[in-house]
Amino acid sequence: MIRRRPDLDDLDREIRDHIERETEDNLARGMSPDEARAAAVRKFGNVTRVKEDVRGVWIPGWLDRLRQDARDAARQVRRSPAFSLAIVVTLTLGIGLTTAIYSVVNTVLLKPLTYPHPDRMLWLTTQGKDPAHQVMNSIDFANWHSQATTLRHMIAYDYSDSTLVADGEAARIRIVSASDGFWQVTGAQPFLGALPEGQDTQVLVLTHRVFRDQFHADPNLIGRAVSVDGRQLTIGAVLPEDYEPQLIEHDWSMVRERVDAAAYRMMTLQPPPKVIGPTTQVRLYQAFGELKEGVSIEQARAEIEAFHAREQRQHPTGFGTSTAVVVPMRDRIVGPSRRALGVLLAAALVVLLITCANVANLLLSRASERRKEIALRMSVGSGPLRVVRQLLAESMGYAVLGGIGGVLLARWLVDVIVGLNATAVPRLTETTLDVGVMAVAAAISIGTALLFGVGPAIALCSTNVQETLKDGGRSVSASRRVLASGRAMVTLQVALTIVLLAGAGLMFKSVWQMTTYPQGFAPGKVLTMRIDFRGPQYREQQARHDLAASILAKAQGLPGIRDAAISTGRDSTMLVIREGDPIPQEDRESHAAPVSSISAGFPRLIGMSLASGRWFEEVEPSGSVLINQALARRDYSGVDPLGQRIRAPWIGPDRYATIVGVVSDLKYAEIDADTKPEVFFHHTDVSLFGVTLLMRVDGDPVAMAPGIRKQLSTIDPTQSFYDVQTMEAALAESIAPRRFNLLLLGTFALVAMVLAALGVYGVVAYSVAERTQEIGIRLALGAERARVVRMIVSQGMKSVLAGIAGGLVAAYAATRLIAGLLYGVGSHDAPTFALATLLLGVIAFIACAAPAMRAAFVDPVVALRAE
Amino acid sequence: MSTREARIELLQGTLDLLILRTLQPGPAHGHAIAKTIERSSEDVLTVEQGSLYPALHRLIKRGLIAADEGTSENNRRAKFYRLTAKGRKQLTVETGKWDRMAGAIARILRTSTVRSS
Repeated sequence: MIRRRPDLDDLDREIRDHIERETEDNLARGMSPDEARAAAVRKFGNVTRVKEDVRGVWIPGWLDRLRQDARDAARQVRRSPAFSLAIVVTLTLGIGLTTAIYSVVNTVLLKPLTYPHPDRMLWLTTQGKDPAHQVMNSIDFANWHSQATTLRHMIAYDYSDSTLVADGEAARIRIVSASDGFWQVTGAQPFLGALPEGQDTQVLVLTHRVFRDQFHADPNLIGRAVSVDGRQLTIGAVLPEDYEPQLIEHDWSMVRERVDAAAYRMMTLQPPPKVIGPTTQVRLYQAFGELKEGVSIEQARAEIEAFHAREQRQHPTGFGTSTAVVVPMRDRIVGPSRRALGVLLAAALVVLLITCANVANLLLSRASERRKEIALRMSVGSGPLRVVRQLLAESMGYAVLGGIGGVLLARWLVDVIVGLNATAVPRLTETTLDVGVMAVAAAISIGTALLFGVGPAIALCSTNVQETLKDGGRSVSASRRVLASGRAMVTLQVALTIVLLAGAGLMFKSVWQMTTYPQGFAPGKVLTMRIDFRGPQYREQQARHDLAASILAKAQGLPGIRDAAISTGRDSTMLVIREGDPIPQEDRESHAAPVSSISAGFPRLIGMSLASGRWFEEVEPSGSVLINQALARRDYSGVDPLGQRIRAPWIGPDRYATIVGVVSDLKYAEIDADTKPEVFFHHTDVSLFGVTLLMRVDGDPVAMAPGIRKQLSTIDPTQSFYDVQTMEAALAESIAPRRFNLLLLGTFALVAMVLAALGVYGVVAYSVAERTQEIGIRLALGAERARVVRMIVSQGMKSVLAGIAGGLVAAYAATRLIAGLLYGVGSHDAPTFALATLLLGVIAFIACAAPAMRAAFVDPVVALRAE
Repeated sequence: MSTREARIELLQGTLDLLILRTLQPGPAHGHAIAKTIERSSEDVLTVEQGSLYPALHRLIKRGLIAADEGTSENNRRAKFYRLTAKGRKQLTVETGKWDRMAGAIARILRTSTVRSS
């Protein structure tokens, strides 16, 4: 294995030469040839040792010893391949899982954003009483923009899903419109063309992805005219492939989406109004800023908070009071997933710990075989340090192999995790296994080697040399010590597994509760698709209403569609003001409710039931509304809401709408939140800018989707349907992060359980092997087999039960940490804990019983002859 | 363990000095060095000849001596060791040190003899 150095041949020759010369001298002194040679060799001394010593001069001692240890370790690994494979596979699992999760955490939480000055990026917004309600309006933005001295740039942006028509082909793309300075702050350099500045809003800047996919990477693209929502724009530039600034989705939209921009354009800021009144035009933006160099976030926050508060006092906007929110951009982007990722990383570390315990267990159980070898080594003068070093070298060897396997596994796992759901965690798609992660994986491997190697090494070295050699390697006290350590490991493993199982169980119950739909609500059979009415032909409201009506009529007439309905989705929020009540000036959010406009069939199609009153008619007189029970409870406690009137400024000034029906609460948009109060208008009563079409179909919705879409496109080919999916898929999307957490935590718990079962099995099997003779004697003397089984199982289960007890206590403390990730289940849910206990208990029992049964049915004669 | 190492170190130091001294007149091969040391110390220092080689390699590593391939008296190929400039300087320093120490030891031994008598 180790290349023999040419120097060594040289040395051999020199020594031979030396001895020959001495022999010649001796011959000259008159000795016989044999005598002369023998005397020369004697005088030279131990040739091997001389060579060793010379080598010692060449190679530093520690390196040489390391090499030797490595050689010994390699020999050991080769000698028992199955055993070694078991260890390496176990380690690969533990290290792989931990490394994969760490690389996700590293990317999402630790890696800087892709801005030129990532640490100086600030998210800027305002919030009302409810911290979840964050908006930045054009009035506040203009104020901040003119007053902030701590910011180098302040950028507003917004995004829209637009229809791009180029070469007669329509495509739906997401366009981010941003104010001046955006290119500098995001560090954009054009790949082709030149980036537009300031007021140049007629120029479209394509991302590399769209350039490649939609425009076939045509290098002569710059200057070409395209139509976006019916408006002529010119393609001015293409961005490089790696340009991906992390932008954030709307705060106020009900369905969260990732901003995956396909193109950019400039946006002009709304000028600050001269007079602020009820008719003032206000736009809503997303805003962020870049700190000036050397300015701290605290300074910027203090400045902005101060002038925002002053502005609020001097010029109330009529939107209620708000406070300034200035947070690091990264916190805003990844903040919500921090806790979940922390929990997952902790879970991965727990699996790693279980892995270590398992490997330590394996090494311990083999210790009985090796005790004699070690004793022999020590008796011929190997110091205990030398033996420990050698054993650690062996552990290190396993750790290195496990580490390599782990990194390979992690590479694959990262792909799997990213593929699970790229939108579940922000920045997840950026995950890579970089050098930093590799270093951590190496550190983990070495750490585990120490963790699982030191215990068995010490256990082995405290072997009593004489006793061990005397009784042929079966020292009772030593095997007892090994067993005791093994049992301690089992207790630890079981305890840790209970914690993971309880956590995964709670997550599972959360997701299960969310996906348990009410009777009759079969979202898997509902196909949804969205259309926005774009283009000059739809400037008139009547044209939009006509289009909506013809889409609905066409859908209802298509074969295979049982029922169709349209809804605008909960696209806005209104103040619900009962007739006669004053318009609230403060705390407006507690009077607000999301609004959607629907066709008559919508509530029944998605499975709502009528609590009181009536449904909408196909043709509904203007000024009717439906409300849900949550709103009835909030605003009409003790009053029958039917026939009551609420202000309806969207119909006209001083107009009122009458509540004609109350529908049941139903979670149909996002299922991980309690049902909010809600108001429904008839779709003919409001301005429509786009609708979601819902169809209950008879066959497979996914298979039918392309045909339906094609049929519907014939109404107006310039309009495109998008977000075609089943309602079930849309709902699943709304709880994607929870599913993601559940899947990973569930996997960890499963791996932990398998490892724990193996651990229990290993220790019981070892104890049985040690006691084969004893069991044989018992059986020969007439002991019942059942009794033997009971004895072994009860001994094994003792450490399991201790582990379960400890695990339940630990789980009680640990699940508190995931309380925020749960839904509809308490963090100390007794049935979940009980189920986790039962599951692990049964599996551990089987792991105990299998070797016990084998022992009990062994032939006593064979058992007695075992040695 | 530590006592054994200390003894080796003492031996090594002495041996190193003797090798350097032996090579002062001119290059020599391994066996010749061993014989010279034995002869000049009038067989008081009988070391195993083999222990010469680790010492030689140590000195090469420290740059005090160098080895060349050459041909010996009866036309046999052999490795010849010679002092380097650095080795020559080291020899002067070490010899001086050794002389001073030997002198000091001699004085100590004499005074203690006087006292005890």
